[in-house]
Amino acid sequence: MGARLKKPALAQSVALAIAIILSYAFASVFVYYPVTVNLSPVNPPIKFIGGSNANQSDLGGSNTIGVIIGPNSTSLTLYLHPTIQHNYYRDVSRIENTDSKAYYITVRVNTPAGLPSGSVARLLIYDAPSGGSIAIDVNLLTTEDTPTPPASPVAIPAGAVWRIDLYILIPEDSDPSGTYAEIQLIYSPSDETPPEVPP
Amino acid sequence: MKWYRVKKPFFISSLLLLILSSILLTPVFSSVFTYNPLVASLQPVPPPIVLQDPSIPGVSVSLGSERASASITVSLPYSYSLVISQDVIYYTTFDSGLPTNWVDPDPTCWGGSTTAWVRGSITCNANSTYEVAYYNTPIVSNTSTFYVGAYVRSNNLGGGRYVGITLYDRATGNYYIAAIGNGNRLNILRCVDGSCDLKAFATGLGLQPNT
Repeated sequence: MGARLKKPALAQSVALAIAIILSYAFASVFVYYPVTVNLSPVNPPIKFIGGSNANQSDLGGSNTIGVIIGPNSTSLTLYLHPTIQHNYYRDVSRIENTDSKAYYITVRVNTPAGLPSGSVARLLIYDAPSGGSIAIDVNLLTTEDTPTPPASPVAIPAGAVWRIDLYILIPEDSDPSGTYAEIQLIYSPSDETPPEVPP
Repeated sequence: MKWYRVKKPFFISSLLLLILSSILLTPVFSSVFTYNPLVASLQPVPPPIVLQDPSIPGVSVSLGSERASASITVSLPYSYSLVISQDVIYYTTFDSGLPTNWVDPDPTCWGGSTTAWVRGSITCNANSTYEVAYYNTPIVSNTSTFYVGAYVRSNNLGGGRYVGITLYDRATGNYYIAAIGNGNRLNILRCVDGSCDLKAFATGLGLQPNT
């Protein structure tokens, strides 16, 4: 009985000894290869700019169509005040390609907006400051990329200015509350599906 | 047999595949993506403009819970039907005066005979050429101005003579005439401010005595 109990203990001891020896061996020598990474920042080729209705009067008292653009024109925050039924916000912001080449755009909804059942919230990107056609139609209520892979991203030509409209529908028999959608405007010189950003 | 002799073809093909793959994959791995954040904040507000029910009789309005929608139903209670209870087309009806319940602005208009003109050139409520009498109760129920009346100019359907009916607006004195006469013609006239305009006509018609 006593001999049977000692076998596992012996095996564990041997394994531990081997592990210690091996770890000591791997930690004992290091080789250093030089790698140089040069970073040369450039001005953002794609920028947000205000639309013709940015910061204009919105529904409800002294509300305005809040459009806040980051200091480098690379971030955008919209504050909208829709009401029951159909709401259309036209030309609240614009996307400008300041470069001499085209870029491929994908819009990614990371955090969808929460609105009552039957609601619609779409971010519509038109390929012109006025008029034009819908280039990208983003559903703000779903986590997804637009265009949805395998569809290719949409090219914004060099020097082009695109328009951002929003369409919000809130059903009448509902009780909506404040919400927001977190989105990313992703652009690349290549027309590939953008990867996930590492945490 | 040396190992490299056996593996040489495999080695070369693998090397070529590796080079080819690296060429093909180079653009993929050279991609660069930039992520610009965009936040859309939605703060719903009550509708600043709401619909109301004006409470108009005959109009049913169903408002939504937020008064941002309305279903409107308009009921039309009036059915327009023309019922002529008096045989006013036959010209002899008026030869001996107005039928019961018929009135005329000038009672002397309608004292004609059975053989001659109905008071000849009488002028009742129209111009000297056309004479109109009307029934005392409006036939079209939603207006107080339209009457079905009798138009009689002559008991002779010869040239320049007519019998028929009229839609007469007592308020304006304007009227429509549908009359047969003037050489067996059916004429439809529109008379405004005493001036009549022939709108349509047909020929070869006639009348039968009301027996």
